[in-house]
Amino acid sequence: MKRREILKGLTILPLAGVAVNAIANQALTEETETKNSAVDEWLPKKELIKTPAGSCLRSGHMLFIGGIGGWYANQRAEPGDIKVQIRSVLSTMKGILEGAGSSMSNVLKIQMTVAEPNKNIPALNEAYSEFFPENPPVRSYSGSKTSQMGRDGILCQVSCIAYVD
Amino acid sequence: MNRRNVLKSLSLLPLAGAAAAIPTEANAQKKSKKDPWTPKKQVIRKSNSGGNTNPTVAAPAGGTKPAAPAAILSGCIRSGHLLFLSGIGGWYAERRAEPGDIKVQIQSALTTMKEVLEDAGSSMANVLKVHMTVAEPNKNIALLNEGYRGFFPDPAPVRSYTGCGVDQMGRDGILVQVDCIAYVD
Repeated sequence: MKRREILKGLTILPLAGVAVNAIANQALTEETETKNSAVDEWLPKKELIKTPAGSCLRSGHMLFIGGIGGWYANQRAEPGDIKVQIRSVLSTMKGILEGAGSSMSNVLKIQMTVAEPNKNIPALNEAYSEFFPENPPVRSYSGSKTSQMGRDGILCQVSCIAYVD
Repeated sequence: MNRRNVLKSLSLLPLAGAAAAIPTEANAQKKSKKDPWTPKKQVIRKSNSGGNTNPTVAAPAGGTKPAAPAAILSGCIRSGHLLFLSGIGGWYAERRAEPGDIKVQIQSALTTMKEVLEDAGSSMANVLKVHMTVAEPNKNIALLNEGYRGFFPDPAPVRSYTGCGVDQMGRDGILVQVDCIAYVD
């Protein structure tokens, strides 16, 4: 390169620097947009999903199902024992999850309220494990008296959080 | 600057632009690959409670280890950046001879929680939500809080609890059961 051209090249460099800065700013903007779109991947923000078995809420990849009672008079004549009730609950849960595009194998967390758990938990567990043969969800429960379940006859109430694609 | 130079500089600009743009695109690709919600569901720990292979609560040396029960539940599950923990009881007979009071029990449960979280790559500082079942809360909650304080650095997780009678905790002796949802990197 001739000396004259080198000098010319030098005068251009600061300009190129400005241009790079401008591009960098643009890159920053793009990055921010990428971040925003990543945040936006948490969709839907909150959506009510209605299925024939019942409703649930979806937010991002999470599904939330509210407490399902072990007995509803309009569904079954007799309340039945805890095994009947937990099977009824988990069948309903299965229906809602599948209706919402998820499944029992995607359940992450279960919360239960159980009447007289000292008496009822072993029988409940027997029926419960039929529904989660592999990689069962985490679980916790609160116990109460039969007279504190909200209405007579009901022995358990179960809610869950599940993953959905 | 004369016209010839201006033209030269213009010819250089697109090149500089192209050079600067390439790394940005690469970063964007990396980012979008990392962002999807993974894992969908991963069992991190099979159990937090007694009678299992969990080293945290393994039977004392020389003691007979109870047969592993059928897996009713998992101890810790990861989904995306969230960890879900099963209810941890304040007392397990295979871990401690005496149940102890509510303060002993909450400290025991939260110590187990800390171990489970740290094993999973998280920490007590990342706990978002705590739920407790407390026996006779009107009597026990003040003492529970004494034991609870100090386990969580600021800001403490949100918390809720359900109270019940001592004979409604699932088994005799246990006074508290606590579960949580935590963030994990």
